[in-house]
Amino acid sequence: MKMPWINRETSWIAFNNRVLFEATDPFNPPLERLKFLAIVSSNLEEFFMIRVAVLKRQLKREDFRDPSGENAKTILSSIIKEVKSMLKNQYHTFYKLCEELRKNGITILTKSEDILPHYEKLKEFFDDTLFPLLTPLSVSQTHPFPTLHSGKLYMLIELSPPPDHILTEKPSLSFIEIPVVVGRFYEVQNSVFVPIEMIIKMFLPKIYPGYTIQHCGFLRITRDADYEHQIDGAFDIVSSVEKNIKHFHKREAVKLEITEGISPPTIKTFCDHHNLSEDLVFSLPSILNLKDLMQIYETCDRPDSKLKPLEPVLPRILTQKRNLFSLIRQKEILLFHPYQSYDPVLWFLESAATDPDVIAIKQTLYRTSNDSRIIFWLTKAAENGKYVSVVDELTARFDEQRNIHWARKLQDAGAHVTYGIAQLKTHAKALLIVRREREGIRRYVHLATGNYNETTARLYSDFSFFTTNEEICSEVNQMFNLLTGFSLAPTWKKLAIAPFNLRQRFLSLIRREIQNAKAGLKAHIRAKMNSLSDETIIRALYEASQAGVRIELIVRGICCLIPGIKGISDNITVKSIVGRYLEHSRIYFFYNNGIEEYYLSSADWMMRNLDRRIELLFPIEEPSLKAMLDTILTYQLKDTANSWILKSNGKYEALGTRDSKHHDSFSEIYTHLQQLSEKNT
Amino acid sequence: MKPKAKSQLSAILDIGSHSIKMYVFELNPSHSEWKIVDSLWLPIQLGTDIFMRGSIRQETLHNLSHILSRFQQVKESYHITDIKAFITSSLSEASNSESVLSRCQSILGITPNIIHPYQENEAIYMAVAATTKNHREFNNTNLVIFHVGSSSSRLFIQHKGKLIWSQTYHTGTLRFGQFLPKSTSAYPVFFHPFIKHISTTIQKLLNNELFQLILLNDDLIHMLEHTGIKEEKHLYKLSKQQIAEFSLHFLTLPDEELEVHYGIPETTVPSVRISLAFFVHLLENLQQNFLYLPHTMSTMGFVYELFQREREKIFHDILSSAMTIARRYEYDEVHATTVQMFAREIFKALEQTFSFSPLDRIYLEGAAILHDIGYFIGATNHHKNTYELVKRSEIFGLSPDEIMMIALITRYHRKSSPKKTHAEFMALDIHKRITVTGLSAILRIANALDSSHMQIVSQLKARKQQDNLILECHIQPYLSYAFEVIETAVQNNKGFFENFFGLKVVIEKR
Repeated sequence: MKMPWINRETSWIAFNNRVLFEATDPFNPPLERLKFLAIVSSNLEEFFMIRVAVLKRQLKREDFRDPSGENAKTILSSIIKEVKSMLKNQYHTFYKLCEELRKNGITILTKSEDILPHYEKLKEFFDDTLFPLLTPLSVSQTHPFPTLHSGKLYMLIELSPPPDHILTEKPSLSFIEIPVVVGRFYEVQNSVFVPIEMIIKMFLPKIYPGYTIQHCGFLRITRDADYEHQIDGAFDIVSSVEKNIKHFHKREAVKLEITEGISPPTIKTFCDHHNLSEDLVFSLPSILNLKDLMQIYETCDRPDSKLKPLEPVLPRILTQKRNLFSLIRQKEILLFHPYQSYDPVLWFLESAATDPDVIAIKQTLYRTSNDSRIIFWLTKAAENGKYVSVVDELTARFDEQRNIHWARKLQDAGAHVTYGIAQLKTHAKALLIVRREREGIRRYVHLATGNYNETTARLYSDFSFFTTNEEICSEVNQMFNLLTGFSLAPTWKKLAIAPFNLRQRFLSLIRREIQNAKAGLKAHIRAKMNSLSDETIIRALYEASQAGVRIELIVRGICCLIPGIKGISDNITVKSIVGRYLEHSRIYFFYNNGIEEYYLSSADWMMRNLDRRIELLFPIEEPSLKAMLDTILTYQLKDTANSWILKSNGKYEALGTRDSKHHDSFSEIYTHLQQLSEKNT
Repeated sequence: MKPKAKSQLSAILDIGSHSIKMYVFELNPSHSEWKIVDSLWLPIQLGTDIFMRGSIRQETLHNLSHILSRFQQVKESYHITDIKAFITSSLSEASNSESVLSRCQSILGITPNIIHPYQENEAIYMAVAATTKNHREFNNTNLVIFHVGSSSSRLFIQHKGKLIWSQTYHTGTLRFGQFLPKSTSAYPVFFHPFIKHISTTIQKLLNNELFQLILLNDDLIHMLEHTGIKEEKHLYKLSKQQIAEFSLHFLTLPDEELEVHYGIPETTVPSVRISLAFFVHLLENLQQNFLYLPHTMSTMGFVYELFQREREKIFHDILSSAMTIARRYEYDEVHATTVQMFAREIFKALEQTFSFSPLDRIYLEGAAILHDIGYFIGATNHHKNTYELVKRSEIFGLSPDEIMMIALITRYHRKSSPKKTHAEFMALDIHKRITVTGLSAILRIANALDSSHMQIVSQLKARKQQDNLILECHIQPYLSYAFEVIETAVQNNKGFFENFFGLKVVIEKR
C-alpha cells in the first residue's frame, strides 16, 4: 500500500494560498494586506526558480515518481493549473485592495489614463532621473536576442522604423530594462504611487523618436536557480560561486510573465528562443511582480493602516545589566524573537569583541542583513586582535553575492574565513566565544533556530539560546573544528549534527515513544517546524501514530504527511500558523515517559536538512526554560485565530477568525513574555 | 589576598603513524593537574609510507604541512606559547624523516621530541594508570595491560597493584597487516606464536593467578565512541561476544560502510580490523570473557611525559621491573636484596659530597638487584654474563643508555675495573663514565659485605668521617666467628673504591 502522501509542490501552493488569504482577511489592516500580496509573489518566484526548475529537469526522467506515485509531467501540469488559479485570486485581491487603499488615502495608479493628470511632474521625473538610466536593446540580424536577467522587469516594444530610416537593419523588436535603482514606484505626490514602467511607457516616443510603436507590453522571465556550485579543483570556492552567479542569467527559463500589449507571434518567438513551453507563460492583468509592493508598505508612514507593532520586550535582568558573560554563567538564557529583543545577541558579540579576556570568536553565517551589526562586531573583534573564525556559507541561495562581500570584508580585517564542508551547506546557527577567566578557559555559546540577521529577526519568530554548559560548548567547539578543517568528526552526545547523526537521533527519539506506547505508557510528540517532507521521518511518524503515540505538529509550510487517516495517522494532528510573524522556529518535544525532553534546532524535517546540510539539534534542559517552551507550544496549539488545520483529505481549513472570541497566539505569547519580563528573570 | 594565578595553556602534538593529534590543555600553576580544553585529529599516512617504502612520500609531506598549518592556527587562537611535539622513534627511522622535523620547525617553530620506546612505554602506562586509578576494582589486583600500536605493541603486568613487567614488541597492526592470511580461518594459526608467548609470560609472572585484561588501541577508541556503548569513568567494558561481533563486522562489511557506520576515516579501518581480529584470539587464548578499554589516548600519557614528568614517581616501578627480570634468571634474591640495602646505605653517606643524583641511586640499586644474574649462564665470569644479559633487557622507565649504564656497573662489580680498552665504557660521555665508575666501586664494597651470601652482616651503617668511609657492621651474634671472611672480602675489593673516592674504607664490627 502506498504511503499516504501529499505532493510537496501541491502542499507548497496550499501554503502560499494561506499567505494569500492574509491579503484578503479584513482583520488585517490594508497595508498589511498589501505586504502579504508582495510576499505571495516573492514566494512564488522562489518556487519557480527552484521547485519548478527541478520538475522541468525531471520531465526527462521516465523513472521519476514522487512518494505518491505521480510522475513529473502530471505534477507540473497540476502546479501550473493551481498557480494560474492563485494568480487570478491574487490579482483580484490586488484590485480590491487598491480600492480600499484609495479610500484610506493611499493610491496606486496602474492604468495609463489614471496617470495622465500627473503628466508634468512625471515628465520632470522622466527627464531628470529615468531617461539617463535607460538603454534600449533592439533585436535584429546583428543584434541578437539580449540575455534577459531573471526577475527583472522589461518593457517589450514592437515597433516599425520611420520611412526615412537609413540603416539596412530595421529593428522591429526592442527591450528596455526597467531600472531598479530608483525604486519600483514613484511617489508623484503624497501617498500616490506610480509604477515607473508606466512612466517610461508614457514617454516612449522620446526613447524611439520617429518610430511607430505597434505593441508595447511588459514581461519578466524567471530562470532556473537550482544549481549546485561545483567546486572545481582548479578554482577556489569564491571564484566558482562568482562564476555561477555571473552565468545565472544564461540558465534555462522556467516562467514568463507578460502583460497585455505583446502580440502572440512575439510571445511565440520569445518562447522558442528560450526553449520555454507556452504553458509556463502567465498572462497577467495588471502590473507584474507584485513583490515590489513591499516598497509601498515600507514607505507609507501610516500606522493606522498597519498592525500595531509589538514592541520587543526583554527580561528585566537583561535590561539592568549588560554583562552577559556573568549572567550566562549564573543561568542559561532563552529568548523568543521578535517578541523578545534581538539586541542581546548583538550585545553578546559586542562584549566579545571588546572584552580583553576573550581570546577567540567562532561563528557560522548563512544569511545576514545589509549593514549588519554582526559583521561590524566580528570585524571589530578581528581588529582588536581576537582570533575570529567565520564559517561563511557562500552558497546560501540568493545571498551568494552578499556573503562573498562579507567574506572579503572580514578577511581584510584579519578574520579567518572558511566556507564549510564541500557539498554540505552550513545551515547551523552557532556562535562560540572562548574566554580566559581566573578559573581557566571558559566557553560561551549562542545557538539559534534563526539566522544572524537583524532584519529577519524582527519579522520571523525564532529562538536564541545562551549557555556555558561545558558539554554543549565542547561539542559546538568540535563542530567548528570539523567545519574549519581542523579535525575529523568526533562523537556528539549532547548535540546532534546533520548529516552525521541528526537523522538517527530523531528516529531514535520517535522510536523511543513508539516503544513506550507499545508498553502501555503515555507517549507524546509535539513538533514545530517550517516543512515536513522527509519520507523516512514521515514513515516513522505514521508508525508512531499506529502504535498509539499522540503527535501534534505545527508545520507552517510544506507538509507531505496526511493526518487523521484511520488506521494510519489517527493520532496525528497538523496545523499551520500564518500571521503577523513568519513562524520560523523549530521545536521538538518528546514526552519520554515523563522525563520530558525539549530540543531546538536549525533543521526542519526535510531530507535536505537531515542529509545535505550541517544542522544542529540542541537540548533545553533548564526547567524554567522548558516551561517557557511548553507555554509557547501550548499557546500555538491552542491558537485558532491564525491557524489552519490539515484534514485527512489533504486540504487545509481555517480554524477561526481574528475576532476576540478566538485564541490569537501572537498576542497571548507576547503578553506572557511581557509578564515574564516584568519578573526578575 | 593575592588573586589566584591563571592556569597555563599548553599544547601537545602527537605525530603518529596514521593520524596527527593535537591536544590543548590547561595546566594548573603547580603543574599537578591538567584538563583538556580542545582536541583535534586528522589522518595521515606516515606509518604506511615508512613501513612499505622506508621513506615518506611527497604527497604525505604535503598533507603534513597542510595539517600543521591548521594546527598552527589553533595554537594561535589559544595564544599558546608552550607546545611540545613528539614523533615516535619508528617514524624517525624513515630515510627522509628530517623532512617531518623541518616542517614542524618551519610551521610551528618547534622541533619534535623523538620518543624512544621506553618513553612510549612510560607514556602508555601512565595514560592507563590515570584511568584505572579511578576504579577501585583494580586496586591491588593483577592487571595485564596490552597496547597494540601500528608498529609496536607493549605488555605490562601488574601484580597486586605493582608493576612487575614491561615488554615492547616490534610488531603491530602494520606488520600484522602485511602478512595476514587471506582466509580468516587461518587467523588463529597466524597469531598463535605471538599470543602464546604473551600467554606464557603472563602465566609465569603471575604464577597462574587470575587477572583482569586491559587493552589499549587508539583507533578502537575512536570506533567505540561512535557505537553508543557507555563508558564508566573513562573505561569501556566489553565482552568477548561484543568484540567478536565487531570483528565480524569489520571482516565482512565493505570499508565505505564501516566508515559511515563507525564514523572512522578510511585510513583507520584496516588497523581496527586487524586489532579486533587479534583481540578475539587473544581473549580466547587467555580465557578472558571481558576486557577493558580505557577511554584515553596514548597521547595523554605524553602530557605527563613531556610536561609533568617526575622521575621519582616511577622509581619503584623501575626497581620492580629489575626484580622481575632478576627472578627470571633465578637469582639469589636474599643476597641481591642485602647488597641493594648495603649499596643504598653507602650511597647515602656519599651522595652529598660527591653530588650523586636520586637517579644515580636507582642505577646503583638496579645494578645491585641484577649483579649476579649472570650465574644463570655460568659461574665463570658471571659478571660478564650479567653485563650481556642486562644490556639486552628492557627495564621499565629506563632508556637504552641508562640500561647500558646499569649493565656496565654490574660488569665492574668484580674483577677488572673500567679501562680505556673497554669500548662500551669509553662510548659513554665523561660524566656517565664517572658515574659508572663510582657506582661500580660502591657495588663492589656492598657485594663484599655479603660475600658469603649468608647475611653475616645483618645491618650496615655507613658514614663519611673526614677522609674515611666508616662501615659500621652489625653482625649476627651466632655468625660472629665468620666476620673474618667479610673483612677479607672488603679488604680485597676496597682498592678500586679508595682510588676513586679518595676515602679509606674502615670496617667497624658491632
